[in-house]
Amino acid sequence: MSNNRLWHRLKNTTLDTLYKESLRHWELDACPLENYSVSRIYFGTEFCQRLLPSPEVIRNRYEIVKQHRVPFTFLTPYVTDDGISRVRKSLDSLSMLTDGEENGVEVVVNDWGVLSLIRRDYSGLTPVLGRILSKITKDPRIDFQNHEQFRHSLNVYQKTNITIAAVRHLLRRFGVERVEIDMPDQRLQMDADGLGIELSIHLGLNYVMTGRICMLGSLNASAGEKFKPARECQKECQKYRAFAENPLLRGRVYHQGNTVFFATPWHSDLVEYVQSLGVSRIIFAPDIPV
Amino acid sequence: MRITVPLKSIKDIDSLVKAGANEFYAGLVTREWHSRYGSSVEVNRRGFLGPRANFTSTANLAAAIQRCHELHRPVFITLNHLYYVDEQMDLVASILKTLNDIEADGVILADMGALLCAREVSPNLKILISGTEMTQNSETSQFYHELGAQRIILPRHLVVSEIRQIIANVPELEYEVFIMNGGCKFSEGLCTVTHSTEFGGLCQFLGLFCNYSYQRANYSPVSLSEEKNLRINELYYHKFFWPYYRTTGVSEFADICGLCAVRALMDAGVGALKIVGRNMSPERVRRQVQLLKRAVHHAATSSCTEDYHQRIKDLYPPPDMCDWGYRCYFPEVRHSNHT
Repeated sequence: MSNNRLWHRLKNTTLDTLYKESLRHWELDACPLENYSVSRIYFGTEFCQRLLPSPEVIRNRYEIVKQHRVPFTFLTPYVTDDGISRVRKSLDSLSMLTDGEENGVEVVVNDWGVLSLIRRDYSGLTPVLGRILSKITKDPRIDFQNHEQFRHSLNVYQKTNITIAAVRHLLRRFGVERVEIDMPDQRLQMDADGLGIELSIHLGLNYVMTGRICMLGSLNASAGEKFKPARECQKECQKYRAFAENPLLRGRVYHQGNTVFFATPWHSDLVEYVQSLGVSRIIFAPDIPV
Repeated sequence: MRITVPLKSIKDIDSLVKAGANEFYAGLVTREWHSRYGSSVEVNRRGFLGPRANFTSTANLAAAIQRCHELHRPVFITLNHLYYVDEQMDLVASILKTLNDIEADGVILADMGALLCAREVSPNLKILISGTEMTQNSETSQFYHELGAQRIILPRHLVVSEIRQIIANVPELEYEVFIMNGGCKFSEGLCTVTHSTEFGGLCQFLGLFCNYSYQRANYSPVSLSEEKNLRINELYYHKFFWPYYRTTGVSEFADICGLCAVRALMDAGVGALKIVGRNMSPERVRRQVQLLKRAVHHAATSSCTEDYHQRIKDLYPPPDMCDWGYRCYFPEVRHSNHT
């Protein structure tokens, strides 16, 4: 949950109320997700190091989550060396907050360097492999199940790199026991129990592409200064949202800052299907996760 | 500083070496891969292009490697699809063994499974980490060093000072950067869509066929003045690489370049400059190699960056490519004589 408005709302309402409001917002109030309750809250950023929160904000969010008596997961993005320094500050802050607690806070990593850093310097934190590092093809233009070129290889497009045993072995060496994956439109052909790893599935919004060049982040820059990789921004992605619809797309596409998301079509059996994969956690974003 | 050049045919080798190529990289689509997947699954980042960007015969690739070795030029093979899955690993291992047997000098990898496999089955191959594997910081560079990599191909959208810092922190590795062609608004390694010949990139699709709608973050409508600013910004954004710059003649330039930064990259410790585009015409590649050779010479012999920029004035791209600086690999060191 990255949206400030939702965090403020959470101060004055129950988790269940906020959850149900979010389902209604995405017009999912009639889907089986309504039978679930919130058992964990995510905070942080997967897609932009400029959005990494300050230690003060982390402390504030952590305290709110504690008040609601659910565990806390911190999200980290892909980063440059400057981003590594920022992540360090976040992890220092988290380590201090959770010192002495029985179960270490989860940290979702989307950069091999961050994973390496956690293993070496933050043994009290629990790394989780994020959806950027668990690779799978997602394309809002293609009906993989029925497309002439792709349907014959559906078994490849329904799997991720985590199906490779050597990769899972490496992850375990780095203390990773849980992996997060987007649920692609073409669905998954994976058995979490068989893989011997805990699976978390993002439902609803797939991340499709991301990078350091930010469309909205250049809104207030002069023409010659726009779209430079390391330029600082005014966090315009927190002020505006851009989206596109087109008959050739299988759902609405959100272009939020530096990242494009695809709102995958919902099917009535989706939650049941996810359960059949042995998935132990469903991740639902109440708002666009940037 | 070495010039790394795409290769797709043995007949191009001698002319490219004569133009200044120091090393080559090439793709291989084996018969086994093609018979299992046809054109439905890529083996490397230009796999969908088949023979237009790849060797499709192991024997032809072996002959090309032999010719390159006669000319003392190493050849690295791309096996850099963003990821493979369990059922593909037998073919990946088979390709790696073949590359080992035909004495390729190294393999360019993006997938962790392929990297771990290469360490076992192809011990003679140097491991190069693809730019699509997104080594953006020193920790990641060290991570790959410990896994046996010998060269990191740095991804797009790092600035020179960031590159310098990575190299200074992990100097045991070689470093390569993209210098010509193949620009992208997003990071290639963080993009999950197919780039098949039918569909191309989603970024292109969004730029060509979609008008964005805008809202405030709280879902309220934007004002007219806000909408105007957002749309102007979007127009500039679409100038950024797309529509790609298309030359009508035999210009050296395709869509993006980093000529202005060669001297700065040399100072930072970058060892190799990559010409992107295994599907480009051999003639354009040859002209780009010649251009880069001159740039590298000027970078090595100039007294400072300003001196270098003066010396390469006659090498600059046409003004309509250069003007905005959006088609620039290293815009922070851009120095155009057109503006």
